[in-house]
Amino acid sequence: MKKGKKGLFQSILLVLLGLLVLLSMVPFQPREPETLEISVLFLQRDSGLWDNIRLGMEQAAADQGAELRFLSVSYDGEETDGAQLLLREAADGTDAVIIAPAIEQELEPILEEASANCPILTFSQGMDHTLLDFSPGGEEVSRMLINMALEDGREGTFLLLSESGTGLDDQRVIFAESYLRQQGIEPVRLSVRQNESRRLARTLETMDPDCVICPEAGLTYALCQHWMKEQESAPDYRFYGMGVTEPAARCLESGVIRGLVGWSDYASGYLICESAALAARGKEIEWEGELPLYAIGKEELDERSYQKLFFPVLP
Amino acid sequence: MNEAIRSSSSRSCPKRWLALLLALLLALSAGCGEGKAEEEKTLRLGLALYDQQDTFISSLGREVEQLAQEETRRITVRIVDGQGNQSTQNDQIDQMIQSGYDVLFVNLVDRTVAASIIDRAREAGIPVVFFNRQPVGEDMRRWERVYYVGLEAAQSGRLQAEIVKEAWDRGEADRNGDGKLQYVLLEGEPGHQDALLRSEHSVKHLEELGIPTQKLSSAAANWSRSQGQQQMEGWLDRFGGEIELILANNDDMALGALDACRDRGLEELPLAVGVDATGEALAAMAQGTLTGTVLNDGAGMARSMMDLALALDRGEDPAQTMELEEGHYIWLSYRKVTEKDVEDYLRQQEEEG
Amino acid sequence: MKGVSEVLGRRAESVKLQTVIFAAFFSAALLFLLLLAAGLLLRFGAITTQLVEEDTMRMVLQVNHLLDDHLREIMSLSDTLYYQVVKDEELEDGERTELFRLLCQENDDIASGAVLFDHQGRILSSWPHSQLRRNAEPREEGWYREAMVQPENLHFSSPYVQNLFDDQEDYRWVISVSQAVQITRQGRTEKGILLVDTNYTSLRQLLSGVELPNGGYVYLMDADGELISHPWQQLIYSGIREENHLAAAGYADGVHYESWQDQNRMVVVRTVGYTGWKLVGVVGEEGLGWQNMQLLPFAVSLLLFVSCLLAVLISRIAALVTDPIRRLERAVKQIESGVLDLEIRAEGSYEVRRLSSAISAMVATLRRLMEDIRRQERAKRRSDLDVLQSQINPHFLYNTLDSVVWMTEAGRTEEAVEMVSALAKLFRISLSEGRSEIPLERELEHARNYLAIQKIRYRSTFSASITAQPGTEELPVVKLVIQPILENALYHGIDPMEEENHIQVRAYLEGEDLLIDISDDGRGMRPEVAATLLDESKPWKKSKGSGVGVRNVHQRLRLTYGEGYGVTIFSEPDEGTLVRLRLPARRAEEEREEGASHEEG
Repeated sequence: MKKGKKGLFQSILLVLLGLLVLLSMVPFQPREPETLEISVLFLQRDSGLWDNIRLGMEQAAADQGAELRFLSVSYDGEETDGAQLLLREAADGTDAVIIAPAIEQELEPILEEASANCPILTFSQGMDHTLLDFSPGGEEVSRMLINMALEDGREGTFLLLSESGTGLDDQRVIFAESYLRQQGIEPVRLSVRQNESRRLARTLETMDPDCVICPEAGLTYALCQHWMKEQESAPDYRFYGMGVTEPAARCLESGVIRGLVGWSDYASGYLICESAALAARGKEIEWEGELPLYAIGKEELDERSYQKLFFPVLP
Repeated sequence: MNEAIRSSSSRSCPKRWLALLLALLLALSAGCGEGKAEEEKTLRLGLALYDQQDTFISSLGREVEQLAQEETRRITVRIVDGQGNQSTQNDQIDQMIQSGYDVLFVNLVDRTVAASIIDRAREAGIPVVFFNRQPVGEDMRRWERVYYVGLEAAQSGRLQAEIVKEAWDRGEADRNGDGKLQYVLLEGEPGHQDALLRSEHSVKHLEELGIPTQKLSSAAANWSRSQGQQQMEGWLDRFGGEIELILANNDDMALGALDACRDRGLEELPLAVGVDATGEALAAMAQGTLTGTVLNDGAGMARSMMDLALALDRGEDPAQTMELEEGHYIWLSYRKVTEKDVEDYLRQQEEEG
Repeated sequence: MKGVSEVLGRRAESVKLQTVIFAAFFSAALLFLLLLAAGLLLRFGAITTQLVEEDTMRMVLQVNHLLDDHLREIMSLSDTLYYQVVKDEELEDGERTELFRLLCQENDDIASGAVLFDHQGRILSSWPHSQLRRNAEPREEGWYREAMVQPENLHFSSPYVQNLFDDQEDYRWVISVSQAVQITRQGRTEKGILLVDTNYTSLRQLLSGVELPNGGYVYLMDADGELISHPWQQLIYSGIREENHLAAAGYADGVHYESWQDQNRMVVVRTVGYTGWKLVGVVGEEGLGWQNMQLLPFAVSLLLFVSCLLAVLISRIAALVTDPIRRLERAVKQIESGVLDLEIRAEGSYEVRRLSSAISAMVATLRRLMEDIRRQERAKRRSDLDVLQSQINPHFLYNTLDSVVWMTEAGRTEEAVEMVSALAKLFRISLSEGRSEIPLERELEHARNYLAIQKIRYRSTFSASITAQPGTEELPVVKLVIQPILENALYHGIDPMEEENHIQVRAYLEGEDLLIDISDDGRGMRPEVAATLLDESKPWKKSKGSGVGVRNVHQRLRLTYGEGYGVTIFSEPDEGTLVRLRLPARRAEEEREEGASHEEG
């Protein structure tokens, strides 16, 4: 009896170990992590503005094994359908949501509700229910912009251009205003709604400032695009804007505008998408640094090093 | 004692086999991995564009994206830019095939390489929809799940001729009054189906409409505004005011030619007709520089592409359920751009800025 | 300590042969296995590393070839543009532009455009762009200056976005190839610069598809360490990732090992001809050495499996080998405990079979010997008995025959006849069909006969009475036990001087025993003599008749019936002697059984 049991035990052990050997011979493919779906909500009219950001996001998505869903939010003049989209996406099973700065403020009320389902990321500081921020601080941007303008001259009227409605650059604008005042300049404030670049250009013409400070990328983009299309409408005043986009580069190059402040959209897109993927997988978000901010004038643009900012090398 | 031993081991023999079987089953079930979740998977579409710098193509891509957003079915659209390089596009397509996309939309850089792409897609069982740059018929027939969505280029040429006819009828065309229409032709990429057809049919239809034509010169300007401009500059040097009509395969080239005219300071611009109805073209029409253009139904193309994708996703055979020509082709129409279109555009520009 | 070593010693002693064989073989095999495995794995690891090095080197060389080809195509285009077009003095600017267009379009996978500048930086011919930007200054461009400085060479710039031209629709990354050229215009020879913008994308395409074995990658940088093409180029530019390219710029061509960001990597460097660019292949540490984790589990599980298999096999073998020995040992144990009729099978190895058969033989011999001994003892007993029994007869026979002779001579024929008849009866009883036991009756008759004979010889100086208790007549007694006593009594007890000597033989039962008292009122003997009579150790002085008879009877009684029986002598000098024979009172059946077993003998 004992011998029989012993024999059985031995046989089972042998079989198990044999199977183990066979198992270890099976070429081991580290199981690829499940493809994530990350939804990105951005304002429709900003799609050109987002070219570089998209490139960065796509690269990060490829690196992280995620797929992006770009959803354009349309604006009917009063409000966007962003809320609806956000809730739908969050409920629908997307793994993370990235929200464009332009619609952050508008969506803030429902962020809590939406973030119950999945992580929500924005580019800007100071939003609750979101994780980290990926754009340099508003104050520095404004300061850099204004310093650039002041270097070129302090005389004349300074016009501070900003966007009303869904833009979240209030902080920048507020700081810009106070900073200008600190510098002893009382700025003229112009706050416009989003869709009026032609009209805006005309308005600016009529207002005839000497220097326009625009700490808002969307407005800069729209204006530069307009000026490139209709070159006769190029401004007489000095214009300092934001954002490393192609129209802005062209304008800067051809002297239509005087200066730009920007950071690597590609990098911010990459980082936010990477973080979204990590957050969706429940991992720690690693980015802790700050995106470097650049003040770019014409000379800098001629220097090749800034080209990488404006024109990301495609993979 | 030996008897005892022997009998117990023969009793354990079936036990041993049972244990072996159990172990095998366990291993198999572990190795199989998780069963496929039965929840609805996202429909994943891949869009390979030949060059995102092409405004029409990139707007088409965005159109598709927009449509995807509006569907209740959950759809992800991945747009990749071939940057005018076929091997880049091949890599991109390979990657999409490997990632297991559900439908591939391919806007070929080089339309002669369709066959290898079709073969690879067929191996993976992924249907391919070519659009805007048409592969040859033999390649299209290689597999039943190959489709083409496009616009009938010949029609666009004919519509261009109609626009010219209208101007001719209004008496605006024949500057020199010789009863013939002197034109220069700016062609798209050499070898491009649309370019060939448009060039051919626009002129042919002009003749058919009873307008005698005289071709001064033609050149390929690769759909490019600046190249069109360059060409035109050369022609202005050679022909000057003789040129009565600028016939261009697309708006960009026509606008480029008009740029040359403007730079030259010509008082009277020749007629200029393009195709695409880009925003700039419409603006030029509003300004009165561009005579007319033909709207290619980009929105319609996007819609057809999306419909195809949805049909395929539902497991239908589009050849049965949709109206496909020869089982593979969806042709959409061009239409002439009207005054109303221009007005709408202007209004839209006002609103959007 | 001693206790422990004792315990160990005892344990060591009790370790079975099977365990020893198993342990010895298993540890030897395991050791061998481990050494073999370690050796193989180490060698395998070394070979793998070598293979990876070679593979990577080969890949890098291949890419180098492709790159060379690509660069050569570019250079050839530039040369063609120069020697076929620029140098053609007949061409006008417009025609030259046309040819530029032709050549560039033909080679649009390599080049995106060509421009001929004069020494003042003005465009002479250009395709596809025709106008410089307002503030563009070609003479300040790097590619211009370098070409001017070194007119004999073709200069490759690092990648940048071309933004010289006004009528650019898009910004594209290019690598500019520039060379100083001689232009002939209106009879004068001037210096100029030919610029060919090459398609950066196709260069990147060349490199991006390269996958080194084991997940490595390839990148390209110029001689100063500036990146030309890297898989994560934009990430590096953005500062999100880092590459050790500056260090690699200092490496000579060949294989290097470096440590970067906590990783050991293998770096293969190859300088590209003419441009001085460096092609660098990088393989991370997962790619090197042991071909990832897969080998380790396989090795370990295989080792476990084989060890287990070995253990099982060796234990089976050990058991198989020692089984016969074990069985033998068990058999011997049984033999030790007395079981002798065991069958020991001869099986196992040669030595064990030899032992088995030897032990078998020895056990058989032992059995036989023991049987022999037993038989001999029985025979001995029987012969003793016989011997004893045969000790009695001769003397009496001689005497009686003598008596018969002188009686016949003396004419006392009746007495002689009596004597002879009695003698015959005596013989009959004596022989008694070979039985050693006869019924008491017969023994008493024998005694009567004897006395009758003796009476005649001794002219009845004595009287005798022989009585038996009723019921005892059938009891078996050893034959010829009374007569020797009577003989003794006649020779030693009877005093011839006396007139009346009385001898009495009385048989009776006492308990389980049959007692036969032979008493006389004769001389008697001293007690010490009585004792000596029966004591075998004391030598008997042979005298007339046979005192040996008494001893003989005593011995025979004892031999037949056991120690509790025999002769007892009670004697008083001058009073008489009583010789008591004690026998067990066995009935006829018992007698038969006894007789039967004795027959077998």
